[in-house]
Amino acid sequence: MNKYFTKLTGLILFLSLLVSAGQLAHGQNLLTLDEDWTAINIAVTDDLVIPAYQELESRSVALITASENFCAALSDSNLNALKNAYQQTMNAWQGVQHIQFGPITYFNWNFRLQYWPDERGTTGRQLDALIASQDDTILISDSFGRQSVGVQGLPALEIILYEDDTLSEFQNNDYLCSLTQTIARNINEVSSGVTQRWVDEYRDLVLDPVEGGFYEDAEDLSIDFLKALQEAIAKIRDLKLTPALGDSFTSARNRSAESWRSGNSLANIKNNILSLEPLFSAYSAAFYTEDVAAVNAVFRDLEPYLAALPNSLSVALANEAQYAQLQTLHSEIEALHEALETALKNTDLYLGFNSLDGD
Amino acid sequence: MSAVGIPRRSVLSLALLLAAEPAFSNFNESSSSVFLSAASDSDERHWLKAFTIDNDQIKELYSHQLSARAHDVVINNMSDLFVCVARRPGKFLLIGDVSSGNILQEIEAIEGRHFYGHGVFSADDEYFYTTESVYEDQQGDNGCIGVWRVSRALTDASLERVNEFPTYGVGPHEVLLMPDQGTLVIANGGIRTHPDFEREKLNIDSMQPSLSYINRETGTLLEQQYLPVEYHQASIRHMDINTSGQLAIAMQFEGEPFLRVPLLATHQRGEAIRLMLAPEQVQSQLEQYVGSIRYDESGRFLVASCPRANVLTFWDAESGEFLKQLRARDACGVSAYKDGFIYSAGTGQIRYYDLTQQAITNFTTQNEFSNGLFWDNHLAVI
Repeated sequence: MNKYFTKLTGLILFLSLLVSAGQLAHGQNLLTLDEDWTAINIAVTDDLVIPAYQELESRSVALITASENFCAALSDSNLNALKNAYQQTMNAWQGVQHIQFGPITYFNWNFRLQYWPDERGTTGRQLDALIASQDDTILISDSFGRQSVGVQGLPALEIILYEDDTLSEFQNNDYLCSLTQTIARNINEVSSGVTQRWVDEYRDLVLDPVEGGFYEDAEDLSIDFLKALQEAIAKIRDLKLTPALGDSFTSARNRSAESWRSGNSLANIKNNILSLEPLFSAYSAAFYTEDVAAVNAVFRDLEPYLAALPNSLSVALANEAQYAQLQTLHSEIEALHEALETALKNTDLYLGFNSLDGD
Repeated sequence: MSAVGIPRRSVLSLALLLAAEPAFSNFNESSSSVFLSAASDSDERHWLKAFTIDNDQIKELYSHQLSARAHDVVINNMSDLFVCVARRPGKFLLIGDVSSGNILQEIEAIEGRHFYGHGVFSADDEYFYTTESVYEDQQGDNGCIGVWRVSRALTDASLERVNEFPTYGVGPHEVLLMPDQGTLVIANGGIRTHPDFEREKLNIDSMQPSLSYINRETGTLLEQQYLPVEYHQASIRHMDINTSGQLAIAMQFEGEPFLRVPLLATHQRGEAIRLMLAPEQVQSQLEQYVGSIRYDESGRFLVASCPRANVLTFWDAESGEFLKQLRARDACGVSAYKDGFIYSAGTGQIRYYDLTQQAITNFTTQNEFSNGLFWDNHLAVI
């Protein structure tokens, strides 16, 4: 992706110069022209969003292949290859999970890829019922897409693949193979659908956001991207870390974390942050220099923590020194959220009032 | 509702409504209307604000700082009094003079009750009714209507608590007066809360929202309607009534985010609730949430604000059909106005959408008035 970053960096520099030419007071937008917003929006679309969805799509193709290989010859090595393909797909999804507007919201695609958090255990319950039914007609593509979202996506696949004795479960139950391949194909269908819509339709909207009354203006679309950024940071803090950390070391709960079965919880957070930083950088011209520096400083502070993150959340939660490390990570995420909030507040960009806290 | 009595203008506009994208236009006129809304600002201060529109510009009339967020502002039928109601689970009512903006009385909820942000005057302006919770009762139907007698002098007015009666449900939200002037209709949202737990929802799995029609003098339950059992997590929150007595209701679904659930409905006394669904690609964007709902001046068309989807949705109230959506970031407050609606947003914007012309007017504001201001959920107009 280096060539994209070069293009983005050039654009950021250009827009920064544009902004520093005039002195503006806090509370005003630094970017006011539609074409300035659109220049960033299209760069983000072409350099970050579409490549991330394409990565997800290609990982899902590999996932299908790995599921077919495993089912053709049930073995430990093929199972490991399938688990690896699952984790690569999950990593790719974590790189674009923050985009919660546009095509991903069509046809429940977001929930069909990943229904989480799942506080009521819907996925496990519905998966058990489906496996007990042994109903092959449900596994036909059209029919499967209409099943409960819980059984369709990455969390369902994780439950199936990370049992205590997955290999013998598969050896004793042919249905698991059919189901695994169906879920893999479904993940591919959704990710290629989202990619296609971005390439064929949404990219045009990014270029002309007012067309069809879809957006009020280019800034309106930019706010969708900035909201995606800020909400993703809040999601890491409130959903991915806080419940797992609990109130104290003794009340930590590994099973509250995302991807706890596969041990991917911390890798997910790392992939999220790595995808959020370039998104913020792309919009840095919209913020005051000192605010950009403050947000970037937190990203820099996060680097050593991300590099030294324990591999396993469950192990880290059981070790006091590593638990303290995770608490620091939590504080850094909180600091990132605050720095971005300050940056937004100093401009005239509002992410939402009624939409976030209505009655 | 029959087609008889629908102004020709509205029938014509149905075809226009389905036309393409909106244009921007100038309103080019001044209005004698007064708009009232709660608002908050970026320093987390809360306000009651009144404004008018003068030559396409929003002009502030008056502004009062509040101790906490308010929700709706209710204006009496003589148009000289307003009551600003605290947001759930707040405990204040602010009574004021519409034209001068003078605050005439501040009231605390009585012991053991809190407000839900809504209220309504009787047709003769002699009484004011508030939706409240008897919150220490965490088992039974703890919804309650507070009855207040309105006392008035030449330049003064006050409310006095005289009675209360049950709403036959939990978590009442909006209350309106039916055209017969003797019946109150109450949206029992179904959600149990307690001030000790702030805004936490305590009974999502067992909630049972309903509509209650109640005699406002005796408190007698005249009719109660429930949603189909599969939609019991659709909290009925906001309503509007047209002159034919058709009730429009807006809901917020507390269940799974991926379910395709109606968020709007209409109801005519004595009939079942008629549910309304938008096409899938629109419906799935709404994030199970509708803010405000209003009929247009003709009573034929509805606007429902969907701030989580950043759209206003327009509906034909007669057929129940979805007509179109209009992008409006964080817009929630809506009021029928002339040939369309005025709407206010959490972005600080106030706009007018003309249904017949398909045109948006974006009113400019004096900078210090709108900068950093977030308009709250509802917008009242007289």
